Amino acid sequence: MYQLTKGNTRSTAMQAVAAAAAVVEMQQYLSFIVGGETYALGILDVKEIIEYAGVTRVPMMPATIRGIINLRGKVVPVIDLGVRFSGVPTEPSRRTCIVIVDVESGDTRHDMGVLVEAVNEVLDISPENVEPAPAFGAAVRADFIRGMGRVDDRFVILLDVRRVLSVEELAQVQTLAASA
Amino acid sequence: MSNPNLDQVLQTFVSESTELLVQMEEILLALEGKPNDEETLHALFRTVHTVKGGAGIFGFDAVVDFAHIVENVLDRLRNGQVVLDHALIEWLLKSRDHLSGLVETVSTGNEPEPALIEDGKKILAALAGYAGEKHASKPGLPVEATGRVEREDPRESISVTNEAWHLSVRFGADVLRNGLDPLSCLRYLGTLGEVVSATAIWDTLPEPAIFDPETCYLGLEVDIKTSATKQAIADAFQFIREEIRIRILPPQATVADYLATLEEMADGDAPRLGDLLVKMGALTTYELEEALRLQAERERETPPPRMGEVMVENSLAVPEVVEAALQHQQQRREQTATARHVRVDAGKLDRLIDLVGELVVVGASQGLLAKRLGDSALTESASVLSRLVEEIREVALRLRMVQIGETFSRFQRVVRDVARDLQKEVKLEVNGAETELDKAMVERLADPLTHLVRNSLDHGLELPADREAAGKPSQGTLALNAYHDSGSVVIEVADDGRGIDHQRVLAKAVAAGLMSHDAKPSHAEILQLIFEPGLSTAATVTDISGRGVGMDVVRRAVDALRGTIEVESQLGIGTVVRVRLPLTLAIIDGFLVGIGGSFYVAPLDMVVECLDLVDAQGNQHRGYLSLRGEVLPLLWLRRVFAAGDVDTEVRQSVVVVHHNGRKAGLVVDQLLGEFQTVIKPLGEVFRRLSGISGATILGSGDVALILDVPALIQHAIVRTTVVA
Amino acid sequence: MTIQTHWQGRRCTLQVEQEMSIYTALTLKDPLLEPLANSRELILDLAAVSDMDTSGVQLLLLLHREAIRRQVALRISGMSTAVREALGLYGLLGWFGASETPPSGARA
Repeated sequence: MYQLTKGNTRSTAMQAVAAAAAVVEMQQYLSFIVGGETYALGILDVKEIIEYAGVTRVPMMPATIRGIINLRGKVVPVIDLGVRFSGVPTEPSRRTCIVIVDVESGDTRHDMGVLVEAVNEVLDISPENVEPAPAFGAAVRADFIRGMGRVDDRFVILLDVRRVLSVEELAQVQTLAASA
Repeated sequence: MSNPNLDQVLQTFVSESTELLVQMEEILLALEGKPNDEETLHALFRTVHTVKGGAGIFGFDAVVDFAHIVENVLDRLRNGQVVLDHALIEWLLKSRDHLSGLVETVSTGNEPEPALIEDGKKILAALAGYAGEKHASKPGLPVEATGRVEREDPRESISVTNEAWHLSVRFGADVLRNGLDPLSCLRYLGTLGEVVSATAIWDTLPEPAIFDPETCYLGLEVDIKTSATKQAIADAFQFIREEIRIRILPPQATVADYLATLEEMADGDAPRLGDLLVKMGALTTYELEEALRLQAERERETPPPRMGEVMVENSLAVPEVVEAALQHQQQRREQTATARHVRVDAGKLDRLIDLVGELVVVGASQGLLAKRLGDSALTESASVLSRLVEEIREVALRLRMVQIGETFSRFQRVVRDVARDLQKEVKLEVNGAETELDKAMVERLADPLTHLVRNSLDHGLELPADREAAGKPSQGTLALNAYHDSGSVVIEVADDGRGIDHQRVLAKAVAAGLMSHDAKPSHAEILQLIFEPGLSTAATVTDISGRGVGMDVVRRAVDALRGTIEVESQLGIGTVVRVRLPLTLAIIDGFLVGIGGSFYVAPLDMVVECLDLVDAQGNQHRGYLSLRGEVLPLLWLRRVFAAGDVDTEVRQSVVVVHHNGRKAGLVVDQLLGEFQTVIKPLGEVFRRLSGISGATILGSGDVALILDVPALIQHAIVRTTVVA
Repeated sequence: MTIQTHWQGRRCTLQVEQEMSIYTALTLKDPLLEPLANSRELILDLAAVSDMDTSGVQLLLLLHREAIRRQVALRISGMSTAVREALGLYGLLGWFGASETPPSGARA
């Protein structure tokens, strides 16, 4: 049995290597707006984008956790990036979207929804056009920033999805007793 | 090992090795009782052998080298060259632990630590006595025995002892009618050699009234001395071969020849057992066909019979030859798993169950739509669909069910070791090992069960001297029982120890402020107190009741599984802790309520009743309600969940819930009725959330949250107490 | 019908003068079994049986069993070569209180 699985391993491993090579060349980002500012996520982290059609609020959770949605039978938490970045809840509008992101936490992967004001476009940014995060002066916490991507003459904040969607930080909740 | 896929293979190796080593432990503990069970010794050998094989693939030399020595000992054990005494069992158990440690270490990519290596050396030194020199333990056996002779040696006693071939023939009913006469075969057989004896088997003749002279009822047993091959003997019956059942047992000498042939057989691919036996000459091609047919017939049995079993049961081949051939075959394909069981990633199974859950929900909403449209054909088809989906769901859920026995048998070791440390004599009894429950639940049960078992050993069961003084047998009994009871699974940890002293528990509870001085609680209520956090630290409880460590922890674990726990005890006689669990974690019968525009579900088995909150009681600052003279703490979920103030226009309702003998009223906006639903875990982000235990998806696609009733009751009681 | 039945009180002698094979088995069953109802002793004379196959052997075994059940003494007074060979091959010589011991070569 081991041998059999080993055989499979080899081919899947090759696929993984091929995929990794593609990352270096593609450098595609999905850009979106939160609190009037443009941000972007690596396209490989994004699973899909769905229209905002309300969420189910989960009581006793901080405002960062907007609630949960039913994503084809799976219950997926939705993070309000407006609150996460600047403490201002995102007001739903016709352009409001939820970006479904594949997050790795420990040894498991799961989906998380990110509530954004609007989704813009997919950007091609080559590695030489990515500059390191500024030490200060950015609109969000420095550790959320993976780099600054230059597009034409503007800069787009490239987000570090693992930091922005850190389960450890998001899991901070009020307890029952505290809420009473 | 950074490659995730290789990791996966490695994981398979680790989990399989772990299983095998658990098996090994079980076998060793079982052997402690009856050390000469040959079958069991083979099984024991195979566990280590398989671990060694797996480790070899990964190049885990430390594991391979160690396992090799253990394997040698086990080989000699099953060959009767070494006697399995208690000391050896002890060393083998240690070897098992060591192997387990090695597997764990090397699979994480680490080198074994010096302590572990030292440990291993000690064990190997002890095992050397058993594995090392060849002992001429059997008189008459040459000391310089070859491997082959050694292997045959233990079989001598069980071998066929005759010098002639034995033929056992049963004729088909139609053989005569088809113009064939078995007599001519017998005549021919006579030409092959000397027929030593022939005996007609005729006890199968029916009553005269139904005796049909043209039907053949006879059988025949023949002993014949011949130098012909088995195939040639079988060929004597060739022309009626379709009509008969024949078994040909070789004489002693020929069995030895088969075994010799097997030894000499070139190592090729792993042939099928049947082919191997035919090649050896131990099985005729006719017999192989028949065995295959028999095996196919019995395919639906669980477990389906193996080829070797079929052959031996039907006397197509002698057991020792089949066994030897099996071993030969086993060596060729040690690393290929049996095809009878499919190892499935638990995640895939969960996904399947999720999808089926969706199907249930969609099916239900389709049924509603059909009814609304008033189309009877559509309604009919929707109901058929939902019935099918229901069946699929049950089957799918059953895929996740595992027997509790494996978990139970892990306690053999715990009981043995702990009892020895405590110098107690304890016998573990397991009942209902075949009881099935959700795999996820079994995993989460292990810790609380260990707690309970240790408690029983530690505090429940007395020292042998004390037991004798109390007129009990010096050996105590610890029983693990499992059974199904009205839709739930009950697991009991029972001991015949000293029991719990109600009065002392009560005194302690009063002292701890958990009970008022004038309270007159029942025995059951008093016993339930041991699960209270304030009462269950080892320091305070051990001396009063003999119940100790962390019973509140146990209860929390059981609560988390949506189960209940109760204890029954009689002073001096014993204690039973009974854990009642739902069959599965995946599905829940719920009661749907609305709060502030959101949906919530309370597990139905915790709902006692529902009532309207009358105006006089509608003051949301009231923390309790008088229900038939009883004080019912209220929890205004709108407030608790910060879902906005209560709309005074809307009449509020109360859902009375209970858990562990305590009640509370949950104040909600709307009562929406019962329904069955699939539980979705909320995920990591919500892991610190209390009061909500999960989510579920309604037929409308809306998400509803599942109320964590035990936590809410606790919360309501604490608040009421504080307010009062 | 080539079975002769002779009664002497409750002793019955059956003389079979035909083959006892699949071709005759159907017709033989009743004549062979019937005398058991009224006899204390049943003697079979098979000296004139021209051929015997497995169905014949089987009939004899049935008769043997029924005779024991009804406490009728069954004995074979004479055997043809064919009968002796067939019974021999089935290891049944000597079962019927046959008056003649088989020649030693009969088995092979």
